[in-house]
Amino acid sequence: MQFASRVFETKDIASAIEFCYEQRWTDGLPVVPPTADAVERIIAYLRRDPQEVIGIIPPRDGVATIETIAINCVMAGCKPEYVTIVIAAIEAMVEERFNLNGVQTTTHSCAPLLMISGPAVKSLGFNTKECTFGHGCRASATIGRAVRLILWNIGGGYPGEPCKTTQGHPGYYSFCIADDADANPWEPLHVERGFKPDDTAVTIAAVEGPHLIGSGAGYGSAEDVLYVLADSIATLGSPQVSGGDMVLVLAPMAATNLANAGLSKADVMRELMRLATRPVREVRRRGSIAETHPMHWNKIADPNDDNARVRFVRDLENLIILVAGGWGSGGAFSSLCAGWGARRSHPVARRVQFP
Amino acid sequence: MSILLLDPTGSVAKIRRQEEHHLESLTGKRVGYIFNQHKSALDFWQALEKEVEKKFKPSAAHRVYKENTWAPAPTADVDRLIQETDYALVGLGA
Repeated sequence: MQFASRVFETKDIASAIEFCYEQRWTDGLPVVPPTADAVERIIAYLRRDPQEVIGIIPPRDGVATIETIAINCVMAGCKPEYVTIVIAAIEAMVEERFNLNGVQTTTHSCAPLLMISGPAVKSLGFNTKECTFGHGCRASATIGRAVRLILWNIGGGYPGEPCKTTQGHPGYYSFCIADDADANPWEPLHVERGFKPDDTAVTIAAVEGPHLIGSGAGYGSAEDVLYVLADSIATLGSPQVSGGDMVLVLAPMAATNLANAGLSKADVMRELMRLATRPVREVRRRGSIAETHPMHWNKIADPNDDNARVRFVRDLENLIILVAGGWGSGGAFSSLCAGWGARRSHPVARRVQFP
Repeated sequence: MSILLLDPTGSVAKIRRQEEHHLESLTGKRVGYIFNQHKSALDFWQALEKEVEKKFKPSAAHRVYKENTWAPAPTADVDRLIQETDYALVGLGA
């Protein structure tokens, strides 16, 4: 196979790994050396033109082709069948409303979170149970890492210059979770977002690292669980003080508690929108975007009324709810990934195309 | 046996740019302002515009103040600004 990419020769595996470091081709961890054979196996599986352009990756404006995506997937440790997921994620991220240039370069600590939903969650073996955000699962870890390597190598997303994220978070290495169809008492995420039940889709959102919420669903009523979840959303340091999107990953026990109380997912979202508020007298203390900005909280609450409430979930569509994680104990630990705030980036979903 | 590695960075997209026109002077020319309205730059931008008005006395001013500070300005707005101005100042705070 003829490749468009430059080819370099190294003498053995150890020197190949070191060469990747010298070229700044890694996220800091060692990579699998991207050999021609391994890249060919992916392209043969996909049966697509290696030079087909999937998108332009900012801020470098690098061209993501099937070939360059495959190279990065090899480096991340992906199996060929995983690459279909990575391609759908890249297609989603380069949509204008995702604002990838902003996501890559902002001072905020948001990273693209991949949320997989549909039959491929099982067939490819994503982890939807214990340590759902964490380590131990090849599909989740390598697909998430492949996306980061693409943002790094093709997009030039290097910290410091040009990327200004002040803190970052561990999800910058790999940030991929999946909807647990068996534990989810409601519609799967991809169906909720307009795809067919037998489709697999990737929904991508620019979010902070997960913050654990002890929802107490094993001990408390649905009313109490909603109160705790809402309290965790409406924190003064959250970007959601100026609206925008967020991802709530409910533990199966928490979702079951709410569903058993007769609540649909839409009901849960409506209740969280109603409950996740703070009074103006507190919100005023949090420096934020310009008062003239259309997303400033003074557009939804009277800034002169100390007791007026500021909603942290501005619209129902700002809240993505996914069910994943272990059953656990009564704490029913769930996670909130706050978004970038305001209307800086919008989640995007794409159907995965298998060969 | 040696190992051949493929470069994961790929090529960089070429951006089409219009031919640049050199202006002998900014005085009396039509000025464009593209500003992201970031809170950290509001005072600076106001002062900058005042200085431009005072020093170069533009014959017209066209402003694109982005409603979404963090996303690119709408292409149609920028295209119109390019048509209606001789030079533009682009500023952002972060």
